[in-house]
Amino acid sequence: MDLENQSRIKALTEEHGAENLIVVFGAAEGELTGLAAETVTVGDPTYAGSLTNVELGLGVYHAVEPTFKEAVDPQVYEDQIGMMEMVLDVDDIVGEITTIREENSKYNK
Amino acid sequence: MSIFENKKYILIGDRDGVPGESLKEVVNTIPGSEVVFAATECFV
Amino acid sequence: MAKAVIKDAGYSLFHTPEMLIHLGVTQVSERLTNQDSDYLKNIRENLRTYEEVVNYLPNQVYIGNFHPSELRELERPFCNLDYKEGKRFGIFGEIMPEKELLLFLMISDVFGLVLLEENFLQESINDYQKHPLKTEEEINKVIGKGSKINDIRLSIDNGSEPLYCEDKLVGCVKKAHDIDSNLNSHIMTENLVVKATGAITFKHLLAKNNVKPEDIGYVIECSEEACGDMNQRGGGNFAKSIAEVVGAKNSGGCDIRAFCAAPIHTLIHAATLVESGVYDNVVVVAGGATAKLGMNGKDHAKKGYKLLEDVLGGFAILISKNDGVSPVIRTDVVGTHKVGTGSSPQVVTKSLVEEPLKRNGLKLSDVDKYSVEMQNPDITSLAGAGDVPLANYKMIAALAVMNKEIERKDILSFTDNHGMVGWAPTQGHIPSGVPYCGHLINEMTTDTNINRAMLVGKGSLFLARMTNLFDGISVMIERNTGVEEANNISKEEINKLIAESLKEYASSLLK
Repeated sequence: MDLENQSRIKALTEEHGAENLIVVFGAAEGELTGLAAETVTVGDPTYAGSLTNVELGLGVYHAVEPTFKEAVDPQVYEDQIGMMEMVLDVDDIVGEITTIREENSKYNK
Repeated sequence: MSIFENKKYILIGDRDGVPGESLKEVVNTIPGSEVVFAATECFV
Repeated sequence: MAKAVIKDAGYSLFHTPEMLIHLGVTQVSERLTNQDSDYLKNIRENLRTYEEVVNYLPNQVYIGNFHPSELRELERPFCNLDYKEGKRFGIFGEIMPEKELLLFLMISDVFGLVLLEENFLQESINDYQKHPLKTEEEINKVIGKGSKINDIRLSIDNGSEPLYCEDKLVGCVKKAHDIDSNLNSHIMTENLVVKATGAITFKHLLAKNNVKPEDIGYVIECSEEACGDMNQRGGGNFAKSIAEVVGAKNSGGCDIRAFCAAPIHTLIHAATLVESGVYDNVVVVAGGATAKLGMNGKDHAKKGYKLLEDVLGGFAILISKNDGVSPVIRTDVVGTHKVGTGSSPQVVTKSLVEEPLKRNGLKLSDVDKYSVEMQNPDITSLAGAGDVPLANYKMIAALAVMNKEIERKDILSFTDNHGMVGWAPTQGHIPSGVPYCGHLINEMTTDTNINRAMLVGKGSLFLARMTNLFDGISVMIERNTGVEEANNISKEEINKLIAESLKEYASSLLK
């Protein structure tokens, strides 16, 4: 994940508390989703950013997950994400993010 | 109450997936939600 | 007004493994944040040789020795293929080795900023002497101007950017100012690389003799760097500096910047300049981006692949007056991502693809080929970022489903028929719609079923932190019908109109 984004997430978690935060990703592939989700739960797997060895344990979701989709306005979802739901490999992404959330998220799962 | 309500949101979009601005529009429809950070990453 | 045409195109790649290590942002960042990492320790083992880069089929497609459609038949990743027949030169340009590029950096430098070690200089001149496009003037400019290695080391101690070749220090680029960070040695290196790679590609365009350098009226450069000093960071102008190198002495020029979408913006600008009669020949040119070398290298290495982002790219496209043969740029079929468009993928795709077609009574399937962002999927898939062109084609196909042009089950066949497998290196602006122009000229001037193509560019404006807006622009290209565009108005009609307005004027005087 982008180094600047890691720093921002770290600071925001300190400010608002991990229990109050949810991270939603829009990554194009399962693998990338997994890496990003890992970064904000157990730390940056690439050892490059400020979240290296930092276990934030944040709740992580991807925009194409059914649980997330159910929580938002269906028309807005259709307008904003409907097409990408058709384009992306939803099963792959849902598989990756669910595994990381179940194993590594400490909050909001 | 759903787990998603009354939470603060960090949104990490993808230029070639779902961009941050789209995530924001959608999350704003969740009751009590507040987007504290939205970004779009680019790998190309 | 007669539409402008895409008359010719040149494309070149530059194999630059040392620049990858020393100038690529991913590697520079890694050295700053994690300097003992395994990635950096093992990086040399993960570099490709020049031969491997030449034998890599997507690169051969880029310089025109293979057609993009041939990639579809091949197994992926392409880097695992055992192909040995790759050629340095193609019909559009070449794949230049780092040694000769370093020489050309010195040839195209007019401020004495590039120093090359004397033996290395001679070796690289010996190599460049065999280049079909070398000129005596170029050689004379640098011959005997080599530096002692100790002077180069001293210069590096004083802030110069080192230049390497085959793991050996061979030169440096000096800073152009003591305190101006916009003229520091790193930025000067990046900018001189843009200039040199743009100029070599431009030479390839000229070599095909479709235009004389002195007949070029204007040059627009559209890469992603900025040249200027601390009083005007992006003051410019790469375009005229490149035009000067190639001898386009009657040319004006400027730079256009719009992130990865810049080439299509520029193509449209160039077409309108020709169409309106301001200039007869405009060249759209771009050099390569050292910053993006090895951008996804950590992912490639982690998966056991070589670092595939080891080439700089360049292109030069000639836009000319309608010759009745070359593909026509349909400036009336332009899709614009507007400020108020929004950034969801569907509104972006609608604004770039559907809107301009609909406005002209065309369907999505009326376009035979879409050239979107043609990133080579080897590079992005192995980095976990997917297949960018394929995702774009699926979006267009999804729109066709929504418009009831095709059935949902036909999405894949639509992407096959109207799309291509990507072949361009991830150099930001380089893959953006334009890599297809060379192939497109060949297809639309011969007996093929390609009659309409659409070039689509997208750009991540939000990366500059000025706006959250996305960007994109598209234009349709059409086979030339060879028919002179008829004047909409006849001489008799003009006479009649003049007579009427005179009558009107006279009667207004009488009132």
